[in-house]
Amino acid sequence: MVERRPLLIFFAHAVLITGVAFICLPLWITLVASSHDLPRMFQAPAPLWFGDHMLENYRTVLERGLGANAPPVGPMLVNSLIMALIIAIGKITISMLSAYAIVYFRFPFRMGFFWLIFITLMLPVEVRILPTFKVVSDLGMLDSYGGLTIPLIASATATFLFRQFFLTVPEELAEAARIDGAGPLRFFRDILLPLSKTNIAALFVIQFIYGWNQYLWPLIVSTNESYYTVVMGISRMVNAVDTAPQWNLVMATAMLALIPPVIVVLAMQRLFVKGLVESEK
Amino acid sequence: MIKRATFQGRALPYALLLPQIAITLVFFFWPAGQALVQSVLLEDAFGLSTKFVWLDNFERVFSDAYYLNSMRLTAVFTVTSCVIAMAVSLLLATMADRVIRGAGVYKTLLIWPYAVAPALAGVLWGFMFNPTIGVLAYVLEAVGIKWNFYVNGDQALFLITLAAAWMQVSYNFIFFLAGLQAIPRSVIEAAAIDGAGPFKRFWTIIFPLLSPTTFFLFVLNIVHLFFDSFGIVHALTGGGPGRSTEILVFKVWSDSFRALDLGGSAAQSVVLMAIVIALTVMQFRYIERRVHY
Amino acid sequence: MATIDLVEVRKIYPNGVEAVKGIDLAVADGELIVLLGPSGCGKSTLLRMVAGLETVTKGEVRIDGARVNDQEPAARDIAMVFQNYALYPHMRVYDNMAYGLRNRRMPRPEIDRRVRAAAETLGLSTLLDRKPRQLSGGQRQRVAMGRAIVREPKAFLFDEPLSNLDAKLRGQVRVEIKRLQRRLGTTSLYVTHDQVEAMTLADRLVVMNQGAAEQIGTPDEIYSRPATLFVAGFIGAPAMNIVDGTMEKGSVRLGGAGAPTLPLERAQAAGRAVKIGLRPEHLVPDPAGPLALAIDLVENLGADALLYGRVPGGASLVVRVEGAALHKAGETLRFAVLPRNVHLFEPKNARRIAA
Repeated sequence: MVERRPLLIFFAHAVLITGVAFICLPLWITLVASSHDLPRMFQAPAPLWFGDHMLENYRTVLERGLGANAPPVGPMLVNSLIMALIIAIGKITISMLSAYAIVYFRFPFRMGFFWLIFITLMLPVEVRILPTFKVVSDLGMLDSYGGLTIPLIASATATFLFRQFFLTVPEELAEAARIDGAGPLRFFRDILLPLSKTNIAALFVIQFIYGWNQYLWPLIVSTNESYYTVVMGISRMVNAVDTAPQWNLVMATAMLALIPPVIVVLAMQRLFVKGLVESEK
Repeated sequence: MIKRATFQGRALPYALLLPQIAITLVFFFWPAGQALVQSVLLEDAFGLSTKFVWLDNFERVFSDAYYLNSMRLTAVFTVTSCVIAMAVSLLLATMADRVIRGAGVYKTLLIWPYAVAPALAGVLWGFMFNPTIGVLAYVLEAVGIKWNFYVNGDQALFLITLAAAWMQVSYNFIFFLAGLQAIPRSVIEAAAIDGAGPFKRFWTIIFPLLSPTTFFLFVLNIVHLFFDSFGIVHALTGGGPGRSTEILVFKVWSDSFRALDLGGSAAQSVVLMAIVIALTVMQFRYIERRVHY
Repeated sequence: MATIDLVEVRKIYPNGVEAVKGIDLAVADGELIVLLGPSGCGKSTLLRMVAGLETVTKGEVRIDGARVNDQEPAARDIAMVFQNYALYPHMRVYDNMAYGLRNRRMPRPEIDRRVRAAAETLGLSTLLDRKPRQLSGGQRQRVAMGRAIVREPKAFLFDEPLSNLDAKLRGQVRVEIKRLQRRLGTTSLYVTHDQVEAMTLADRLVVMNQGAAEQIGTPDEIYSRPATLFVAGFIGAPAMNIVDGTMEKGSVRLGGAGAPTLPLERAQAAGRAVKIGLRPEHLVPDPAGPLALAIDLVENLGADALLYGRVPGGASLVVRVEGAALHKAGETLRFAVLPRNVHLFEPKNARRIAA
């Protein structure tokens, strides 16, 4: 660094540690809370250090749930996983194909389709909740994985990311492929796809998290308990009408709900950061 | 925009585009069109009678005190949250750019909240501030503040603002750090040689060069706060107490699914659409002026 | 105006790498010293230590006799011209040049006077309101120099300023830098890997290799009396011919028996193994000369030509002759060389042997 000012470095570390504390505090409190038994949760304030009911709580929550309104968390986790995977894989596949078509082919209405996709950037689900719900309902897709995922699968950001990336692939590769007798599909499979690996990985992380964290949509589309996802399921536990929330179990559920995406982010941190920064350009 | 080397194919491009276009038409444009249409109709919940009413629904919406309340709340919530999130993340990013040892650890510890769903963030913060047993509520009571966000509307608004800011910090941090690292080291060194101390360097050189990133994040934060915070509100306050946290997106959902006010909620949706379009256009416009060097 | 003194300056990085291995240099007031060497030789590191952008591990850096090791760059009253110019992209040319003066709280009229004077000298007067991205490479480079000039510092530090310019521009700007420095009389340290720049600009040259100074001297000294094999081979294009040989009484033999011998100015001990250095341009065609070159490749450059070949005994030589080559591959041509242009080096330590 330019200057050697130990005071400044000390200050920097102090600020960062404070920042980390602010950011990580909720996680700590939640984790600790999930390790205590219910009676402890009725004493103010909530505990700051671990209890010894952790395994017990998690098992309860996974297998039995909280009682009346709250189904066991295990199946909900599975639903979340399925939803996240379908969305991530589906989105990537569809966007790659569309981006490929737009970049590497000339055909009538090409720009028209491009703008069509572009416009969807401006129509997040929240802006058309009721009518989209109606369409899904009319198609009989409520309470199904299809209904949960398909309306969220066609997004413009992924398509643009791939389009941008494809534009940076040297012309010569495609020309060489043509001379080598490779048709468009073969070129896509043998050359473009391997080159796109990092982009795909980065996008996978972002979309997996997006899919897993969906709240509003599953809230509307899943009326049957067996299709609840864990993120939406939590609100039911917290806002339980009849009884006070069983905080230790709620927090255990919260931990279960946030651990998978956090693991994905941490494991693929470098890729994910790169993908995020590139995709918004 | 298009490659020089292209492939021949009559049907192939259309086939490749088909999945995305099909889904887009069925689940984006058709419903959006429906919303537009619905916003100029007056229809009862059972669909028995429909009347074309021009902009009556819009008038009704804009003269509804609750809606105006919602707009005001949303503005306050969004701007406050955005400013807090951006200031905090900029500070953290600047510090993280400075330290050499432990930079990676700090980065990891500050990035993970990106993975947390807004609804979960709401639950977590709600727990910490729970009037009965919340750790932070306890601290507040200890310094003499009567804390109960289930009853006090301002406190509820404060809480969701805090939760939303918490969520946005990690996202902003990533971008600010990238922006800082994109500034050439030699420019900073030249400034040092030119007699500018660290503080002066930050305000006269670094901050101006970060302005594209800052503006971009500002717009993005606003968009996120408009929509993603549905989860926070729904899980934490349910719009209350007494509509004190009923932000626009929440109201749309509430009016659609609880009040079953089809025309009104459609009109609200259209208004939201207009806001998003305006923000997106602003964002793309400015991107053209982004590159400095 | 100031003197710069480097006393046993060393730079050792935390991971143990020694980038600069004890440099001693005394720069007189107004001198232009060039630090020359290949990539990674430590020249830029040395410059940055003088600037204060790198810490000095051992030794002292003195400006005007005062030790500055612990002083911040801003306090040292030096100005630096970076390789990629490092202009402030968001400021106009005027503000780029004024920034340093504003930070030092100079009164506005004085700043204005200095900026306009520098702009005038560098031909930037019409560009003062433009932003860097609207300028060409050469113009940006001049703004970088303007920023340094207005400060009227004790010393200029140049870090490969011409590397990013195209060849033609490089030649022009090089001359401008030389003229400017002469006129202002400011002590200057100039880093480059280009020997042409070095030889034309330097009052004195420091040839560096792997962190150490191989030789310090005027361009003429460096050229005519290289102190080590490295310096001999680095300066001059095409590079000096280096041939293994043995000493004989009053002469040196280019190889084993049968190889030609060259007379020396002073008698030396016989039998000693040496490395012989002969510059291509010092081998002069001479029908009675000792070196019979069997040509096997001719490169015609227009103004001169390069002849590649072998002499008896197997040594390969490159010779530069003026004008178009009148000889072709396969022919033999005889050459002579003046005794003072025969350089001898000790094979074990690569150092020059007085001959």
